[in-house]
Amino acid sequence: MGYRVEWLEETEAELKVFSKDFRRTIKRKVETIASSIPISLKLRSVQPVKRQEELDVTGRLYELDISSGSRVVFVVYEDRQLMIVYMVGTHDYAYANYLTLAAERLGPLSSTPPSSPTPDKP
Amino acid sequence: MRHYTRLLHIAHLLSQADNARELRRYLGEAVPEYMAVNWAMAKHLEEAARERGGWSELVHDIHGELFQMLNTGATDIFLAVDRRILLDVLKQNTRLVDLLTKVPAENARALNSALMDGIAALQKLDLIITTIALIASKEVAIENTRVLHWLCLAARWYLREFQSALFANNPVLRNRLSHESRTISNEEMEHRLGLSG
Repeated sequence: MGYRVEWLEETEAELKVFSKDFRRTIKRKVETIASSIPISLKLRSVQPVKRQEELDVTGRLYELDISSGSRVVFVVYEDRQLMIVYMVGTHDYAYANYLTLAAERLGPLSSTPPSSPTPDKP
Repeated sequence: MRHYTRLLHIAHLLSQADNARELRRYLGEAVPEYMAVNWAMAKHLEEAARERGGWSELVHDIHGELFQMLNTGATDIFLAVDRRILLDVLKQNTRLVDLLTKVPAENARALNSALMDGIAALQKLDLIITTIALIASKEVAIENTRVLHWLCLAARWYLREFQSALFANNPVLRNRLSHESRTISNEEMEHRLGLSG
């Protein structure tokens, strides 16, 4: 039986950076992972995030390599059979986040990504 | 000179690999000695860095020369795919220098965390680039030209590993993980993205 998928609201803006076809690809890959946990968590494209015990997260944190430098970070909650996607973007986007101040990042509604990452031709 | 000889010895060892897997094993074994040599040689580069106004400028200059060599086709020993990988690696290295010098103080912890996760990959990337530079400049001879391709494939592998570390530790993600956030269902997301129907 598959896990239910939920998305952090902020990921909507991140997904909309990509073309419609690539949004579909990302969504399909996420659903594929969710449908076959725990086996899918052993795929080469899925890696557990290192040192996650230092984070205040009750589930297990993973990174999914989509393609063309795009990644998805999600948390798996075994007890609730739930998978929540926390971030979608390219490594260029992640890089830009380091150079951005928190005040700019959070903004008034905390729902807009800090910059417009350029997808690597998905 | 003694350090340089050790460096050539390490690069020569890597160039003797018989396949991609063996090369990666050699890389893992050679990194500790390479880092020791690198550290010793860096002391001799201090003056060059001072003349250019700092380490960041020195690294930019060195990478600029490599970029030029790869972009202008000054050497024809690389496959097109390998050339692209090397340009990506050099771009990443330049960005890393920028991160180290420009990241705001409040994001320094996130960057340190990424460096902790990615340091092993970075060290291997550094060794690969050094070895390739020594081969390209004919300081180290290779019998099997496939070695260059394997070095580039390994570079791509470790580049991805480091980029993963940067992604997983980026401050926006860490901020989201530490705060309560609203989620939407898969169906609702499909609708909002215009993918339903």
